Amino acid sequence: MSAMAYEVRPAGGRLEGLAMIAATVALVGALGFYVYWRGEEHSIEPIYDWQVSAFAGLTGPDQAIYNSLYTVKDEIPFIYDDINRFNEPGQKFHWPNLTDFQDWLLPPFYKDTSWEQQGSLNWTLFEPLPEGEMQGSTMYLGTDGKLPSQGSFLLVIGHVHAGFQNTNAMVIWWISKNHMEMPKSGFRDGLILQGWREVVPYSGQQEVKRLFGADAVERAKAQFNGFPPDGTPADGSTDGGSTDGSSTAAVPGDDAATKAKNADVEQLIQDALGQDKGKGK
Amino acid sequence: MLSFTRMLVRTVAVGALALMALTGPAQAKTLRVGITLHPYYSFVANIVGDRAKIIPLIDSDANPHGYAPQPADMIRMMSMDVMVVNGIGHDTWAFEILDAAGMRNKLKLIYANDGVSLIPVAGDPTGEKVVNPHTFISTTAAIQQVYTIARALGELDPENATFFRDNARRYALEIRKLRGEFDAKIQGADLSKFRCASMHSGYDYITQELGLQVSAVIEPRHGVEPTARQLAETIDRIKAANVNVLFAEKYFASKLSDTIRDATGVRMYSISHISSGPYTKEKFIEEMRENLTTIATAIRESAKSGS
Repeated sequence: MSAMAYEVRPAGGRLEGLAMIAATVALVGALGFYVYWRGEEHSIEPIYDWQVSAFAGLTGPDQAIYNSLYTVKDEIPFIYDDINRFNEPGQKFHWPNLTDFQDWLLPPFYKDTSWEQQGSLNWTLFEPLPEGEMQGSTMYLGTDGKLPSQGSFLLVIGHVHAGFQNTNAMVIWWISKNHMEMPKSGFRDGLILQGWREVVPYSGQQEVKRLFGADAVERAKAQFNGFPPDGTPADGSTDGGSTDGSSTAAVPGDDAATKAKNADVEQLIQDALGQDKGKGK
Repeated sequence: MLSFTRMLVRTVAVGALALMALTGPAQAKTLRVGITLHPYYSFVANIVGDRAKIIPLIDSDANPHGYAPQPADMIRMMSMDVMVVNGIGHDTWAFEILDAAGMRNKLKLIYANDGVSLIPVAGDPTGEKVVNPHTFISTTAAIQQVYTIARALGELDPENATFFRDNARRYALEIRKLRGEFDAKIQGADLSKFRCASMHSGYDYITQELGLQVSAVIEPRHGVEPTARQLAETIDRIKAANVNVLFAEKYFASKLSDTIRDATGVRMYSISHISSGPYTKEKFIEEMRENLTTIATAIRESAKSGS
């Protein structure tokens, strides 16, 4: 008995193939449409040739110096106010100098062991003409670091009234050269021509945008309408919210129920704080 | 005499009214500020004083690494007016709770790291630049967060904005003084002999601020233990770099650190992640002081050993 082979084709085979192709096309089309409709672009802000990323472009001590400068730029205006608060009438306003920074323990200017570990940069202040006739910008130059292949830093504080730019702004510049002279001015184009590069941070705000979408920060800020705007509770409900000092969550219902629920919330908060353990539960 | 008494009463009454006008009416509602991590409790407590109530999102003894949200967290969240978050990877569970409680886009959020210049995880053998979320184990990055939080709270509560800002500045100086104390402890020590590795990337910000180089990090990713092969490679790197100090986690001990110490002969020191124990106003300063003291001890002992 010899074996025989038969090819068995399903009766609706051709139809099944077409149906499968149609379903695949429909699925891909639907997914494509959904991505087009709801997709979010997570773009990273570009770094230009005349810029350098603090996150990816700087390393070790230079990165640490930049991060200190980045925080200090928020504090310098406060210190400026403090040191000029009790000026005599007509006395010139002045920017904090290196001695002031020693009093405020302000890195990267403060001369401690960390400053030594980070190359003992020599900082100098350039303060332009007196207030009212100021031309140019205030600059702090950090140069002559002792570590191999260490760069120099320049913190530029621009002034609206000097026609420097449209807003008061502080910009941090870096150059790979170990020694630099104080620039003649803090104008961007001139600094770029000398080889300085603006340092841009990879900030927490950029990371939040990457993680939660480009409008995450704006969404969070959109909730900031002052406090309390209209007694509306945090969860957005409009019924039963209390506006007295003991208010907690907005709980619909009568006062007794609200108070009981608020007491429960207070107990939960105490539990979280690690206080009154064992009392409530 | 009678008219004098009337005048006196009137003067006192007017004075009292003027005083009330100056001090303003009692705030109708106290701002209720939620926080996700222990350091943020300390930051907010030092900024707001007694002018806001602070609500921790999770229990004080919960481990924020890989935390599983609980129903009580949602109830606490719903009682908040605003919440301070790390937002860059150390409290991802807070966003799960936001979704579970239906509070996404309803609860105001303060991203504490908005203005922090982030750094990559140190000692990554692949050279990949991965964002380090441990900005709160630091001094400079912590100060930046204190300012960001104070500014945002001031926008929410403008009447207290100056109070918050002044407190933030005072607190920033307190944090900065920690560096002065640290400096006094290592005066004269030879830092050239100090070479460290750490169990995880939690201490990169503080070591960078102090000018100390981390040669290797044991955990390949935050909260992920290395494979046997990765561990062997890390031990080789520790030996090759002549690392003599290993910083391990104080609260979340791992047997791995003992294994590495035995294999390499490094001295081990515990650093606090500032993420366990009761929430207190003083916690951040106290534990950072302890951390800096530990690092100073490690530096001095490295210098003495001559290794």
